[in-house]
Parts: sequence; structure tokens; C-alpha cells
Amino acid sequence: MCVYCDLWGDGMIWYLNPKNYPRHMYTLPKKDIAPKAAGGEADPAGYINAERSLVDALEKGPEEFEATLKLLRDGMDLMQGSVGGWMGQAVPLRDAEKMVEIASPKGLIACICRHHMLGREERTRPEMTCMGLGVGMLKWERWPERYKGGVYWVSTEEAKEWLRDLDKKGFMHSLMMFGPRFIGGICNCDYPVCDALAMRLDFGFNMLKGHHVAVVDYDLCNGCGICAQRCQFGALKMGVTQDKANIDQMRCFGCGLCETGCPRGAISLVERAKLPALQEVW
Amino acid sequence: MVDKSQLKIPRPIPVDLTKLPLKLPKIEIDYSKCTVPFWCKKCLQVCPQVVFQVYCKQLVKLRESDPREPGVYQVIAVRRDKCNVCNKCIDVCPEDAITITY
Repeated sequence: MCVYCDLWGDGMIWYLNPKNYPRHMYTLPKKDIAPKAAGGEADPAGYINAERSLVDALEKGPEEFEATLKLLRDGMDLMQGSVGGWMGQAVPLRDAEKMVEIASPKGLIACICRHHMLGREERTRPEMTCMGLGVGMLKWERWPERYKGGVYWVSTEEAKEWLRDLDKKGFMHSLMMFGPRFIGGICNCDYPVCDALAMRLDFGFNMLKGHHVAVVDYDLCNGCGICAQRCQFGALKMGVTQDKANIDQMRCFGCGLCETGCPRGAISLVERAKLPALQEVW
Repeated sequence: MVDKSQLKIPRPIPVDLTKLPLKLPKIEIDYSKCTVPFWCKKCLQVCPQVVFQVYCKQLVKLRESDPREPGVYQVIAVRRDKCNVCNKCIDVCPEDAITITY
């Protein structure tokens, strides 16, 4: 069972539960909301220093590394301490489309990771690769210079089309949370430019795997190899012996990029909960 | 608020702890030479392993200053564990501000 579903799911997948969206957050008393929001207001120096302290600990030794990792994981999981940061979970395109149906308002914003990893400024709408959800986006519109380019409002249909476009390009979707529980946006990332993804794959924290895993139908697969180009996690490769796609489901994050990229519909997503050995692999 | 004991997320550590401590390359940046990294950003874009990160040191009411103003932004070598010492950043740096020792 997904930890977040357990805490906040109310019997359904937690990110499809309307209670976990910012609209509900603003109806709650202040003490129940996260102490400090991340996102545009987060100081990137805090996150960069956290990352740097992990790398420095690699040079010191196993005990120091484990201690640093534990400190950062606890801080990150609770969105407390100096780290700020964010949590997330991989979501397939179909679930991301359901999420933009639930959330409102929606706006396209600039990606903070690409801002400080590549020095890229996403000032115009076609460049923007991040989506903010909820009325917090009004602040981004009000002070565009503060929030690095402001926000472009989109309707539900436009948001879905934008998600499908990015999916076609090969961006992996994940949700991000500003504070525990409340979903603040949909990231579209790729390794290693995405900070959250790089930290998860290299150091094992921050982002959870999604609720699905991919399976290949060997009768339909013709071995074209498009899916292997799209996998961000090294989970999918072309099996040379069979000349068909081969998925390591232990590594699969369930992002569904291989499914949407397959021209023959040979790859499908199945629920992680239905596979007993994968139920606790997050 | 969330109770800390509830959030036990079983995520594996992908780092081989038995191999620590690692020997990592030391990347030093001379900030007297590198003054406008966000305007230049050549090392950020050339690095195949995305080792460098840039951030704004002077946030005034969360607003970032002009990237052309010297000393406002700072570039740091964060992911040194990824660096393969290809020295591309040294070649591309117009100010010769980067030194790598391994």
C-alpha cells in the first residue's frame, strides 16, 4: 500500500482524492497546513546545500553518509527544517489528465530545476515545462519578477493537450507537493536535469514510484525500440535474444512513457497492488 | 500535521555503502573571476553530467537580481560524484575560473 494513500487516500488513490488539492487546503485552519510552502518561495540555496552535503558525505565514509541521508530524508518527508524541498510521485499521463480535471485553477510556470541546473529561463509559454495547481498561482501572476516569469493560465482541455505534447517529447510526469498532503503541481522531468528524479535515482529519496508498472505483450511487440529510448529509469531495454522489449518491473516507476510511446499498443500499465511482490516496492 | 512515525517510506539506498569513502574530484571555482555565471552559463550547459548548479545569492523579497550584475549569482559544483573529469568546463570557461584536481 502506498504510504500517501494510507494517510490521505480515503479509500482511493490519494492524488485522485479532491481533498488533497489546494482548494481544500484553504478551507482548513492554518495550524493544519504546512509551516512553510516550497515552490517559488523556496530558497534554492537550501536544496543545493542539502545535495552538496550528501556528496561531501560520500567522501567521508559510510556512517557519515547514512547519518546525512537520514537527516535529509526526515526533513524532506515532513517538509521541515532548513531543507524545504518537495516530495513527489510518478504519475502516468492518464492520471495526470485526471488530476487537471480535479484541480483548478491551473497555470503553466517555469521549471525551477532547469533554472538552477542549466541556467535556463522559461519566459514564454511554449518553453514552460511545469504546471502549478491551485489559487496560489494568483501570486505568481501578481508578481512575475518574483516568481521567475509568472504564469500562463490554461483551461482543462489546454492543460491536457499540453501534457500530451510533453509526453510525446518524452518528459516524465510527476506530481509535486508543497507541504505534506497538498498537491501543488505537475512536474515534467527527465534525468538528470530534474533534481527530484536525480536525487531519487542516485540517493534514494524524495520521489515515490507510481501506482502502476508496465508490462509487455510479446505477441504485439515488434522490437522497434522506441520505448527503450523513452525510459528514464533504466528499467526497459531491448531483449537481444527475443528481439523484443524487456521490462525490469522492480525498477519500473510506472510513469507510462513506454506505454504512450508504443506505436503498436504492446505495452500496458497494470496496478502495482495486483502484483504481490511489488506491493511494497516504492 | 503529519506524525513522523506514520511516514515510514521504504525507499532503498542506491549507494553501495561498503565502497565508501569515495575519492571524488575536487572542483574549485574562483569567484573573483567568475562573477556573472547566470549570464554566461557556459559550464552549466556544456557539462554532460550536470555537475554544476547556479543560484541567486541576493534575493530581495524573493526577487532575483539582474543576472548581469557581478557577484549576484554563484555557480557551485554540486554533483561531484558524477564528474568524470573530462575538463570540458575548463576549456569552455572564458575566465579560466575552474580548476579540477583528482
